Amino acid sequence: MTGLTLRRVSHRVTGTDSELATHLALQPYLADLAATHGLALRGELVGTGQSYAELAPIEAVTSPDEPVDLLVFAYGVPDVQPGRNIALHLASRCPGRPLAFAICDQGPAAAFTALRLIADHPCERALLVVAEQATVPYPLIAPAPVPDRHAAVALLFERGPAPVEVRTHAALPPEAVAAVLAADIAELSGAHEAVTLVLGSGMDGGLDGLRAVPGLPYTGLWARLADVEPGRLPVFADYDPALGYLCVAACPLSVHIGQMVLAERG
Amino acid sequence: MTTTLADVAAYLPERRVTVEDLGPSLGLTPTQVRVLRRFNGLGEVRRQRPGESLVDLLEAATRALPTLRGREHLVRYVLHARGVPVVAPYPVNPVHELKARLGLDNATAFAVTHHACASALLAIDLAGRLVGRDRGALALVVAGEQVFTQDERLAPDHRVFGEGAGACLVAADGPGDRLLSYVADQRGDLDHWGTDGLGAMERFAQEYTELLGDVVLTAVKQADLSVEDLTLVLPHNVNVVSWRRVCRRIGLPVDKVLLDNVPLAGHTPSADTFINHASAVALGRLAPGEVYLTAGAGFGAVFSAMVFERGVFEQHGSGHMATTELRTRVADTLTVLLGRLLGRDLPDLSEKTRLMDELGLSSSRTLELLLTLEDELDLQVDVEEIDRDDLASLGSLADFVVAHADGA
Repeated sequence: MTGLTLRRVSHRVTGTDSELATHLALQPYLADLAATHGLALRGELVGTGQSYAELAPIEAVTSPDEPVDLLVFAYGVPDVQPGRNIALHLASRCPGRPLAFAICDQGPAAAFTALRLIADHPCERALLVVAEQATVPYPLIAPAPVPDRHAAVALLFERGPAPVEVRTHAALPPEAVAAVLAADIAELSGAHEAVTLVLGSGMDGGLDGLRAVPGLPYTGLWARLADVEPGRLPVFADYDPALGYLCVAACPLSVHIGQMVLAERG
Repeated sequence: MTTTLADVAAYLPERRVTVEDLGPSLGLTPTQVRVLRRFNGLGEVRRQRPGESLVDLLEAATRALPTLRGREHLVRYVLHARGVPVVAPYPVNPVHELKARLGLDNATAFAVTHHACASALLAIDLAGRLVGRDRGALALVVAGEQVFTQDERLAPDHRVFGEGAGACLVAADGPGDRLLSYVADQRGDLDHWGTDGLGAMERFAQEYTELLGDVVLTAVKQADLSVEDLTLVLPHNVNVVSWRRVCRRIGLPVDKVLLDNVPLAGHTPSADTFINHASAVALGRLAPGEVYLTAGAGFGAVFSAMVFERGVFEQHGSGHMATTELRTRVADTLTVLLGRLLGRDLPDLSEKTRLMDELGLSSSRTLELLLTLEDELDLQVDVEEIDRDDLASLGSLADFVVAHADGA
């Protein structure tokens, strides 16, 4: 396992739709997708949505003289072009042409799984990209988080002295979350005196810490890591009642944290 | 720690659709369909029946893993390798539905994608990394999609998508096929969803042979081997002619590429490696200690290859997989054995020939025929469920053997 520190974070949020949402091939594709479960498209949403390929702030967290070895892209709500291999496109814009792939179908836990895979992969630098968009152009047939704006966050990690800890608890009922979370926070905090808790939008109130950016259930937590004061250890957590995952992680901030960038939030 | 395929199985739906039947819906002219069959070596694909779901497809492959039962508690991860990034309307979640059906409650499940038709190779590599940190743990990798949209019919003049699924158990050590190398060459500049879609597709087609050939050579080199060391290549089943070109380019004899399934199953977006693995085992083309490679490529674009050393397996999963090849062998062998058993030529023998009514075989002699067949093909048939209907004709007996054979 590679030791990692978090070096830069950039969060881009927009209410504007992409021109790619009007691509001619899109409507038949989405109609076919919806029809697999007997759904019809919501006409008022056709032609809206955002492209993760355009939205992801890769350039804001990378520089040409710092090649990246690995890029993991996590999403829940599909891209405006659901058939597109976004991760490959992002890699082509990233110094070092990193191995790139996507993790999905795990709700907000997908980003934690992406971080776990980054931690398992020997590398000098790695990018975690999480994205979400507000357009779901068919009725939801089950409860699920839907953002109220389009957003993408990019986090640059670099090799560091301490391992990143990622814990994923599957099939955890809501009533068990508090106890498991408390135990994990205690263990992950270890001997650190200065710990900042960062809580995702799936976490109940009652805990002191930074809260995810409202309305952004997938990127809102990760964007808030930029607000952790230098010298403090961020311990961050999210819970997804739909799939039953509680994820808790800790990752030291880089000593170069002063170079962190927070771009275009809001 | 070495990423190890501890068990592999595959499944093909029984419904067959010929390229001639598919032609009109793909917008192909009769001449283009002839090119598909004659030049590209495509013949038919498998499709599920109406009403069957993607989870049904994935479950069928997983249930064909003979060593999963009893070891469910060791499965900590379930990875759905997907050539198609989005296969169901959000938030429908096939991999979690599969996890629930299999009773893998404590496993962490997710989909791995954006490596197009090479996503299964990526998923195997990631699964190996995950279990490498988790002693004794297993990861279940499943692959397969339904063909639900026009976009999966891209370039239908040289490939046709079928439906099929694969599954494997990945361990960090123990018996099984050992991963020797994995290489993925990504070419995001050939992304056909970008602003220059047609141009990107054209360049993809132009550079395809070179890029796929190069990634095969790189994977072999990374395993400290040469192409001559490969016993077998498990291809993605895009078509026959493109593999011939790749073979010529890298000096690989084309008969080392298992192309048997191209005309029989077509190209599944992510499951070809598993489907061909099951066929290779059924055909006796993988022996312990031998080195094989699997490769795939897809729009987006990505070209990937993996090299394995074949291990020792106690059992093999096949599901309905490789049934075409196996069935042909069973029917052919039964024909020979019947002539031998009855001591005469049987020129009019067909699948419909009634073993008892027409040939006068008794039940016991039919079972004797079955035992001889087992010896001849080195397989074992579970005869517990056999009944009189199964013994009715040569065809029904062949069907029964294929459905109940183990170790073929």
